[in-house]
Amino acid sequence: MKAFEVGGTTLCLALFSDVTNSKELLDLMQSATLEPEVAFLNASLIPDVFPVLAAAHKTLVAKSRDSLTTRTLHSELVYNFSGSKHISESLKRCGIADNTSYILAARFGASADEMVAVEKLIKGNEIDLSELEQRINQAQIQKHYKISNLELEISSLADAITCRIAARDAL
Amino acid sequence: MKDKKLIALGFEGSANKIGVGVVAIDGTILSNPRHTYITPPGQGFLPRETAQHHHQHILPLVKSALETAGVTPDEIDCICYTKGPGMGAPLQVSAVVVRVLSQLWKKPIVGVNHCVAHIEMGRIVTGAVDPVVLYVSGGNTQVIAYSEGRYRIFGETIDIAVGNCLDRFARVLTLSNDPSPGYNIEQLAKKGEKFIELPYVVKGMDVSFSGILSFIEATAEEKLKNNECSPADLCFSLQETLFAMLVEITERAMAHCDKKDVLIVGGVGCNERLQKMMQIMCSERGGKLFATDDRYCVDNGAMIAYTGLLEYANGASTPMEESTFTQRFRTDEVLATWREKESAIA
Amino acid sequence: MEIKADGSDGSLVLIKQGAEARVFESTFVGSRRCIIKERFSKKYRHPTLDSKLTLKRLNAEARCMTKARRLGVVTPVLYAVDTVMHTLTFEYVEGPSVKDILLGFGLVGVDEERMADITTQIGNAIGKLHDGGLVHGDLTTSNMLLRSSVNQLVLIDFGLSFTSTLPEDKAVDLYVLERALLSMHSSCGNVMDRILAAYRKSSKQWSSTLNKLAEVRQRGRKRTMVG
Repeated sequence: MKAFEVGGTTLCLALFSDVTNSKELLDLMQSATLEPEVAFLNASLIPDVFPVLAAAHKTLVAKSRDSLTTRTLHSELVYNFSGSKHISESLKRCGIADNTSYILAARFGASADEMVAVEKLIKGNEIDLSELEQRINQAQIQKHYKISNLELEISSLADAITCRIAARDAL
Repeated sequence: MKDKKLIALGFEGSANKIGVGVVAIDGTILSNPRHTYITPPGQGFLPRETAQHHHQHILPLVKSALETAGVTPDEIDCICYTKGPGMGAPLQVSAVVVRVLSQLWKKPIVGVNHCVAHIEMGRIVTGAVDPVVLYVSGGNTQVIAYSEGRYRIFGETIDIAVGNCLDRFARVLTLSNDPSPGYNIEQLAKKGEKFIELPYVVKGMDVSFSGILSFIEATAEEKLKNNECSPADLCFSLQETLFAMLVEITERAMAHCDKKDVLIVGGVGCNERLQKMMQIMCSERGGKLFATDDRYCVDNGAMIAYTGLLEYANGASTPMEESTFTQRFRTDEVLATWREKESAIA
Repeated sequence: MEIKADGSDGSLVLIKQGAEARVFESTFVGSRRCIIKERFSKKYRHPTLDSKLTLKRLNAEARCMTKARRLGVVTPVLYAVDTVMHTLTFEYVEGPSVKDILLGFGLVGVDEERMADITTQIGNAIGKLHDGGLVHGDLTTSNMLLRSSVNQLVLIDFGLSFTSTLPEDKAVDLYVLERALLSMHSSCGNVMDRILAAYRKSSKQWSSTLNKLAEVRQRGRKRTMVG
């Protein structure tokens, strides 16, 4: 678990591999009984924490203006990370499914107790965030974010994702 | 020679105005009469008819200019005329008259660039020292600044001139051409309330107006018929859009050349709304706007006389065989020798 | 400025006051050095026109700087867009502008090797943009940076950019650059020819664009300019 400073709020991130209870987590989330509220991201799409922080920043700005697009602060984070405008598609792709075993959990303004609770919710191995880069599914990332090899000649995957997160609402 | 100021007689006839002016080297305008060829509403001026008009009026104007100024041909040091740019046939009228008078009175000729004349007249009338110049008229839209011996064009229209755009728009609305289409658009625009979005095209320091014109030509009739807007609204929106583009590229040129002041010259420069907008921009940048009223903004003989005199005082004149006219004559083709001396003194 | 929500650590240092934007240096999400570019309203413009232009250019800049990257042209990484505050937050690029480098050449003489490298990169970049249907709209040497560590060309200021496949639009894009070079760097020799040589190699559609460029130049010289 690691805490990051985003716009005066902390964002706590914890990375898990070999998760076995994603169906249960999904059910809790969908019935809005997840306690504490937390965002579960499909970690194989995340090469680095930076784009997650950019998505978190975008989420907090929307929150401060009461203009969230989705139901909660944490679903908004997943939606924003997708860089796409389709809400349900975004939550499906960048969130977790029944069989997801590699998960990044994120919570805004979490206390130490709350993060312990989050860690208890997830049945899997907590690993270091530095493992993100080597565990990505690059083909899936390139497909989802439409990143060509041409772009990767001048950009990292993380920067390419960040640009898409930032530019999504520029019409 | 006695200790007297140099005096020049100047002829301007590059478009639909014929003007004759008498000017002294210190910028004193002794006389500056002119006559405008006004066409019926919905019509522009054609070369042949315009030349005929100039022909009819040029000699009476010479007479009246000399009389008002109280000078005789003897007292004149040089005769200046617009060499270009402009419409061929009207330009020719002045060129021919100047050749005749030069031989009759035994006076040297000085051919003058019309655009440079607007700038020099603007500078002497307003006292602007080294401004960025916005030159806006029926045929010209240029952002100019002096640099290394020449008036260099930093930005300009890549298609039609702003005055041309206004004139053709006036034809769409069949506004009167008296005293000028632009003036009537300006008056009508004051009654406009609704802002209609028009194409706004700035490319670097250049602008394009043809898109606005075709948009208006294509939609004006329909919009007016459906009561979506009034002719006044269209005039208002057109002015707001065109002038915002002009102020924007002027500001870009100021930033680019690191100059603080602006001088507006040319017929469209009389427009008070354009002056107002430019004023706001200048004061935000801590600079000053220099603008003139229609006596000097609009084509006139005095500006040609004064600019010709500057060249003459620096030892230049145009030999008879070179006293031709040219429809194309870019501002930056002229070596502004007098400016070099000025900056040397400064 | 809304210091808290913009994610900076609170310090905003004004580094440039331009004609239509203020440029600040700051930090994004606590860790990355960034630029915040805030577009402000122009008082001389009609309010409707002003807000439309401000938003249009903010969005165009965000869209086109990211599109350029997709085409393999380096621009700063975009971090955030705020259409309420009219700000863009993007990567801080360490390095001089091409304008400053060329002005330096004007003073102390041209470093041929460096000049060849810079003009090749410029021609390549514009060729890639144009083939991808992107027109920069404001190509000047002040809108090109050279990243210090690697001497890599970075294009900035995409506020006047738009997508187009018309040779006319691409030609005008080059024409604007040519004029800017003439007015600012004539002491460096013919920089434009070097850029065009690289452009010709980089753009598959160079021939139609350069034909059009010749036409656009002629138009400038031939305009009769009546009145």
